[in-house]
Amino acid sequence: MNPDRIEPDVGAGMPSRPAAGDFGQRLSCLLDGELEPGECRALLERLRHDEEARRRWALLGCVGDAMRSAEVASWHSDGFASRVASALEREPTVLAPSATKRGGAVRRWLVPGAGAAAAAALLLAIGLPTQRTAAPDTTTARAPLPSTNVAAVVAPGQIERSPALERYLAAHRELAEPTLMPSSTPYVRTSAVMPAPEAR
Amino acid sequence: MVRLGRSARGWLLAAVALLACASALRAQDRSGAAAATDPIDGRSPEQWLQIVQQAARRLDYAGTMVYQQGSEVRMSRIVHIYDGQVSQERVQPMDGRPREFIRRADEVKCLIPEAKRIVVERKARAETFPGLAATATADLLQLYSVKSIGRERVGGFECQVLEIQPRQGDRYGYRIWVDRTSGLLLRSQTLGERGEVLEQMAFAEVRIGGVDREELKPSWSTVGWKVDESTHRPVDLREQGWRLVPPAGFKPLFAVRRPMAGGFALQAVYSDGLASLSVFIEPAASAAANEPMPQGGPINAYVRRVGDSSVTVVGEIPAATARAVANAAERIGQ
Repeated sequence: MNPDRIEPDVGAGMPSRPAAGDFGQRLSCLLDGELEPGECRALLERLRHDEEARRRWALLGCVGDAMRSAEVASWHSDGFASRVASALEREPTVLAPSATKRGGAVRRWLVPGAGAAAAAALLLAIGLPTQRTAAPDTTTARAPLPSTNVAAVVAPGQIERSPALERYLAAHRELAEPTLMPSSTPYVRTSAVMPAPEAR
Repeated sequence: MVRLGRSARGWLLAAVALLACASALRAQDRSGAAAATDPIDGRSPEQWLQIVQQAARRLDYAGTMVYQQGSEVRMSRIVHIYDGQVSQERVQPMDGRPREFIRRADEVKCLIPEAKRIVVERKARAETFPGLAATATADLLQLYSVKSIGRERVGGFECQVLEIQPRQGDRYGYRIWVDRTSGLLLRSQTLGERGEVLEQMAFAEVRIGGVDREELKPSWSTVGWKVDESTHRPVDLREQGWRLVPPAGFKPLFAVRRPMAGGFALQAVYSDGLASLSVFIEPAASAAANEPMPQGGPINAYVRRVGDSSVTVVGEIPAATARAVANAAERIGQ
């Protein structure tokens, strides 16, 4: 059960590209310097011919550089994703794997289902349809509401927020106490949620 | 061929015998010490959990945590320092609107620069609700089966991989990667019913030890910022006329009355050591109810109306569990 296992079948000019997550993992392995020479060559070959692949590869590199940068704080703003994207446009695409050159810093990019583009392009939002059903009859025994899932992803520009739900999330995060995980876990999980502006 | 005198031969024999003896001893030593000198391999699942628990609180570390849920990926910079008594932490999300969370023991300051505002969150511990930490691991094993499933490297660290399976289907399972040397949890996955990964967190890079206190300082000077105290006071749910039934093994952590949406809400928090859930009870009029949201990650919410109150369950629990908790909530003594 190694989620980072690499299939040795990546080739240039493959008619159908592998699943996004699979390709993202290969790129991440390339960054980590973990690909076999043959796999590495095949992936580089593909990078040479596939513009989308190049874009994602550069994006991974950019995000990685930003993350390792001492000035991480200066990236700390809502423009992070767009700056990564514009950096992409400015920078020539680098085609050589560079993980080993940087002092062997090992990176693991967790983008199994998404690929790196999603990392920069998607923002967390609490997407809540404003639909409101009629006030449920309090005498009915059956549960009036469907179960709901709080963390929803919408594309930039479509961000919807439910103040009510954010309040619940923030309040829950405040008092939730993971015992095994670092205490920050709830904050990492819901970092896009503002603290409840209740205190007055 | 070198000829040796009698006494030399004697010495040689003695030396060979001694060597044989010594190496036999050493071999014995090795086999006997295998369990003792590599205690890491001999650790029981319970010991692993204890080590992870301690490490999360007691180690100094700084790194970049990647959070992934579905197609959403977010990164946060995390700095943690334990000075022997107090655990302090700084969480700096790297995307979304700028903000920082700075925690010292039970107090978290949420910094919101665009509003020049600090929201101070404090855990109002009732004495009847001792922290989970002391008993958690033994209790966890009642609720989850834990097994070691091998070793993998994460971020350059040799990790032990543990699989934590719920004994009942009303909660999620987990897979965790623990640094074998320090015990720090470097990667974790929350697993759904069919073993699918609902969310994962991992340190993309981390430094263990050697963390400077300066790194805990916020990015902005907060001089002149408005400070809002998040106020809540402990309450007794029964006295408030409510009976809640959390899933088996979920212990009460907090029950508080807090400002919410212009009014007040009761919030009861339960945890089984890995997952937690909150139940909010408030006047129905002020509650935003009936808002279905798409399925995806591990957090589920369920709202139910009980009399003139609205009961909202939010937590890292399956949807069915959130619904069951909401449905079990009842008014008592009225």
